[in-house]
Amino acid sequence: MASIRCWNSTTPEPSSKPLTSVPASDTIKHEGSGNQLIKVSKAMKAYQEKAQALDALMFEKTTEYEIGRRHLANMMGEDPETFTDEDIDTAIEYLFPSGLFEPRARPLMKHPTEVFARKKVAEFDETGRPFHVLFYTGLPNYYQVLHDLSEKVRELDSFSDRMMQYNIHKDPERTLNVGGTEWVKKEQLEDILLEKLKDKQYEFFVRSMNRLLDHPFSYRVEEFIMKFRKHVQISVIHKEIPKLMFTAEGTPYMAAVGRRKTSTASVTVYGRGSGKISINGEDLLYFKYIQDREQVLFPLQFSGLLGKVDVVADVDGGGFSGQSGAIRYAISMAVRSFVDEQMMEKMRLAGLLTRDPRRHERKKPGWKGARAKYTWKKR
Amino acid sequence: MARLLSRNIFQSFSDFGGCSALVRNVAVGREARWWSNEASPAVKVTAPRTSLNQPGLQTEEQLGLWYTLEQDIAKQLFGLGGIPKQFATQCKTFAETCLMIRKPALTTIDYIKKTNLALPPNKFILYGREGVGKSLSLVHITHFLSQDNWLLVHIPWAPRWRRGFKEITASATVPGRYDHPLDAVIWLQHFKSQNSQLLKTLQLETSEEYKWSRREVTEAGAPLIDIVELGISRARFASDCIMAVTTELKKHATHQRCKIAVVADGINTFFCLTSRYRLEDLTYLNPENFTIFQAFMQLFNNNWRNGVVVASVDSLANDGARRESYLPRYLLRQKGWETLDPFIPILVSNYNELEMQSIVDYYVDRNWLQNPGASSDTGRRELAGLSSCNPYTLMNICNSL
Repeated sequence: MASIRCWNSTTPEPSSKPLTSVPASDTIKHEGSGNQLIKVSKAMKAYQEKAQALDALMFEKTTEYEIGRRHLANMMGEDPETFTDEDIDTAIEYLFPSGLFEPRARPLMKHPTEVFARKKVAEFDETGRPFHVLFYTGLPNYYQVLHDLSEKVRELDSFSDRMMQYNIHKDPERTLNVGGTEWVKKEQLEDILLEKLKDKQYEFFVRSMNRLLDHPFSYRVEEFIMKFRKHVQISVIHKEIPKLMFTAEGTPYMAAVGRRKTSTASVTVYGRGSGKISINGEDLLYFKYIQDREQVLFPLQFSGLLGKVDVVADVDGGGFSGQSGAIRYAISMAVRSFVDEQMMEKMRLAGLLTRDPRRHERKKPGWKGARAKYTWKKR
Repeated sequence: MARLLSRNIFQSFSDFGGCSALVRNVAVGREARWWSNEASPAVKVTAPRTSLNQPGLQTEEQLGLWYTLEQDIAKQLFGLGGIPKQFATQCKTFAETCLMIRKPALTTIDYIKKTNLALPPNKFILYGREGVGKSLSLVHITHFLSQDNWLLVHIPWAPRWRRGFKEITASATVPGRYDHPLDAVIWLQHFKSQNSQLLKTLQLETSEEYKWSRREVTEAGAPLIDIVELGISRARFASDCIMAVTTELKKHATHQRCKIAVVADGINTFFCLTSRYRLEDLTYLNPENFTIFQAFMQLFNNNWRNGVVVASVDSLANDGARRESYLPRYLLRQKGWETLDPFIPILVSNYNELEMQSIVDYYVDRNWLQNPGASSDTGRRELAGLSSCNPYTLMNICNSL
């Protein structure tokens, strides 16, 4: 690159060979825009060719995609003009039904921008001069974001100073609401910036953004902030909670089945009760150990229904621990119909609504147990 | 402000007047000055007690209340057995022996009061699940019988002679029978301690001569207490003494000289097929060959008068193989059923709501349940749920770890 000269170069045209000169055979004379012969190295040329090839590919694929969209619309009998990307997905699913479990292995037709990984466009021109001011930091986009951030903080500070002058305080109604959102993860930030980041750099980014967010007038830079926030999916099961059923006398009841290890319990919880518990026709003292009795009572005690509902349980299989766990799960699932959403959420957080998936793991030959190995002797 | 509040509360409580003692008793006393800051407006839970310590005077109004068994009476009646060991430890901790007045005991006492003594003895068999309160009901009934001047033939826990005996020797008098020298001595001491006063007043005498050995003879017409004391001093003859005592008592009762109450805890053990004593031919001895078993079993049949038999059938008194049910026919087996039939079965069940309330109040009063949440509504429900209202289980839950 020794023969490249930038606008502020003060060194004269070297007559003698510089130490790091590129051999003459590696430079290519390239016709520039102003009919000037610009010397471009092979590396530079290769880079430019790659960029051009990528552009051409994207253009070609996009046209193919659009043509494909119109074909699909015709096949499905829809209007090609208003055939959206979601319509394409449904059409592909219909035309190419797949029995594969993994969704990513099924046939798909997406826009090329989603299929091909985004790459950075040329970062410097033919002369090798970078476009971005912060190119030489190594992470121009990342540091650009931080720079913008600090500018915005200064803007907001001066704005709040002006507000204080006129004695206007922060309007609580205009506070930026970031409920249900969280900062993008490191991988997602890397996708946005197209730059690989270190953990420390990501942490610094989050801390700085939090600083901006905590500013009382952060609503003024909502757009900037929301670029880096994504919505959190609520993990509550949106399954339908069955409605209470009623006996002939009008007592509300709910039935549920629970399993733990190899035990199965089918339980009916009757409302308007007095706390009677019947397990296989016997008392709660069917379980000899207090731990098992506590397991059975826990969902009722937690939801405050102890002594207010009657429970009739039939349990089979397994031992006392598995049976008590199965009954507990079944009671929890039945109790969902008796309690409100807030209590249901608390139950979920308490782990009452999670089916314990653990099963007995077999012992392996040469091992002491399922995982434990025999004492290892060095010699 | 707080003072005004406390004054209002105390006034309203005094307005309640003569309602059931189970309404939370407020610690209003002449002792605690209600206007002082120490008497907090919060209601203190006290055990619902009754001062009627004579079981004969207790009625259904006292159901669920606690009455005190005085220390000296408890020692005299149950010093050598009768009160279950865990309960006795609890009584030591609480520094008092208090019993809850429950329906089965009151029913039995009522029936005993109404018994026609001219007919063959009534047999009351208490039955129920494990830990439900049979033994303590028997304690209550025994206390009543003792107060009502019945001569007590009290077997504290019969299985102890079948499987936990101290020593077994072959009988010298009857071939094929086996004696319990040490256990018989203990029982005679127990009998003496329970009935010494009554024996003095009744002045019962032996009807025939008993020859124990060449030199030891009890003549006819000697006071019955002599046989008892001989048995206590001579362990060799103790089992035969018991046989003599029971035979004599049966005769006396039939001739209306005294009324006899046979109280047996775990009566179904008499009809078990094996004991723990191994013979030379490596078979286990059938307990019907025990002298003392024979002695008491003669009191279980119907050929005498002026008596009453109060017993409990307990699945724990049987061997492990025969404990599936708690019902009398199953536990007594055919032989026991035929011997004891007809009898009056009295079911003892778990605590009902009133009794549950009472027991928790008692534990809180004795500072046994110290968590402030114990006497709250949720606390009581948790205790009732965990123990399933079973008295023994509740005691274990409330015990220290």
